[in-house]
Amino acid sequence: MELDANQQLMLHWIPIALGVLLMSPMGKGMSQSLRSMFPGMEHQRGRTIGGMILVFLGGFTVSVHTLWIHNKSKEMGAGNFCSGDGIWDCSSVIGNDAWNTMPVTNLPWGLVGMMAFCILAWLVISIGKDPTATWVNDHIKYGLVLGYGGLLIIAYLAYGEYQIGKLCQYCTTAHFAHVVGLLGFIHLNSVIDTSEWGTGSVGEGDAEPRIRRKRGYVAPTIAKDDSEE
Amino acid sequence: MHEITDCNEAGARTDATMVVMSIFIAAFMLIAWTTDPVYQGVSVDDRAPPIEGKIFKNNVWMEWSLEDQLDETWISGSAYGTWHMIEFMDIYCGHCQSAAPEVRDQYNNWRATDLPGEQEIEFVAVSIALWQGDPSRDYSRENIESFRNDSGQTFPYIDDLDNSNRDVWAIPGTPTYFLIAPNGQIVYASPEAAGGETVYEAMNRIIMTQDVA
Repeated sequence: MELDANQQLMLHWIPIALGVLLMSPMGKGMSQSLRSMFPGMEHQRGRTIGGMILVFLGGFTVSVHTLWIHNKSKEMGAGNFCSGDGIWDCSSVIGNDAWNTMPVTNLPWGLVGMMAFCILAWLVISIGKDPTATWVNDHIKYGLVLGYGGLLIIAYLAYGEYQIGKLCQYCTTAHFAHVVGLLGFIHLNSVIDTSEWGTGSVGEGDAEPRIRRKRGYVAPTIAKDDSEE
Repeated sequence: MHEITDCNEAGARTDATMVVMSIFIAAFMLIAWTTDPVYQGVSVDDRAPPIEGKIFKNNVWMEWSLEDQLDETWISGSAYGTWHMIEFMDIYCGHCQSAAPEVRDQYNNWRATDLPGEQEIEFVAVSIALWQGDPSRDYSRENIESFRNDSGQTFPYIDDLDNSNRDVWAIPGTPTYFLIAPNGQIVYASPEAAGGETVYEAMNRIIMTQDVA
């Protein structure tokens, strides 16, 4: 059985949809079964990070697929991929040389998406692994900057699709994942200094409370030597 | 109880880096193994950019596109298919005027030559406007026809007086020659010809050595 382009796209939507559910209020009930494996899921922060990782995974895989289609369309003798007669026709967008690469760098958008989702995933995975680290605030800020910057790129590509007169379902999926990821970073930014944040990592839960360290160098204390007294 | 140390904090980021990099490299290897892209460009081995426009062929102007002439299933070494010798020229360019008799003779010779297998060769001149906007030069289809007839040539000419094809091909000057394989791959480009090899020498080297078996 051969899956057509839209059916293949559904495979990318599975982690994205699960991630969105996990981040939503429904995620609390959904995560019940996962808590034995990931105790950190008991907190909204843990569910948000877990959901964001899934969403970024979906965004990454759909970007990989987009780059694959881009490269396939550049092969000698290559046929049309995911072409359609309707408005949804990724072949007309990914195969359009005027719009299918990033200006200046000339990199295919699929590769740009792969790199962007890798960076976003790295930011959020590290937060998930050590949510009390000193750099967590920085990671959230970087995520927000990348997230808002990505909106400009999405706007540019949406304009390109408007010019071509077609919509690329693969690109739209990646854009959706990016926007959901941005919402995740906004949420993390709003709860980081509140009690909602919790202390344990996604895998650990809050069993062992820790206090967030302050920035900067902490001078070592010298133990008192009893012999001096 | 956890010890909070810089090592622990660095470890979280390093672990995340390892995870992300592993996934990225795995995906990249998958793409590298399963695709073989040939990017569009004007260098040897690139896929030729499109050439579109009105062509003067059989004494009439008609729509023509290089893409429509290509057979993308053609494989290098196969002795079948139609090769295209593309000449970008300007009817007011002195070098193009000097080269016109040689191009005419080469065309006639190649048309009379029995090519190995079932190969064919087409010459196509793309007439661009180097001095567009210069009132002393009259760029028109009538003048393209006159140039062609005066040179005794019979191969087709494309009207690129708006320089649309020239811009896509980034033609630095005229005359510029390209040899396009039947699948659209550029196999010779005069701007980068090694050792001053002419397009006709390249045709001899490439077309005449295709595998007939």
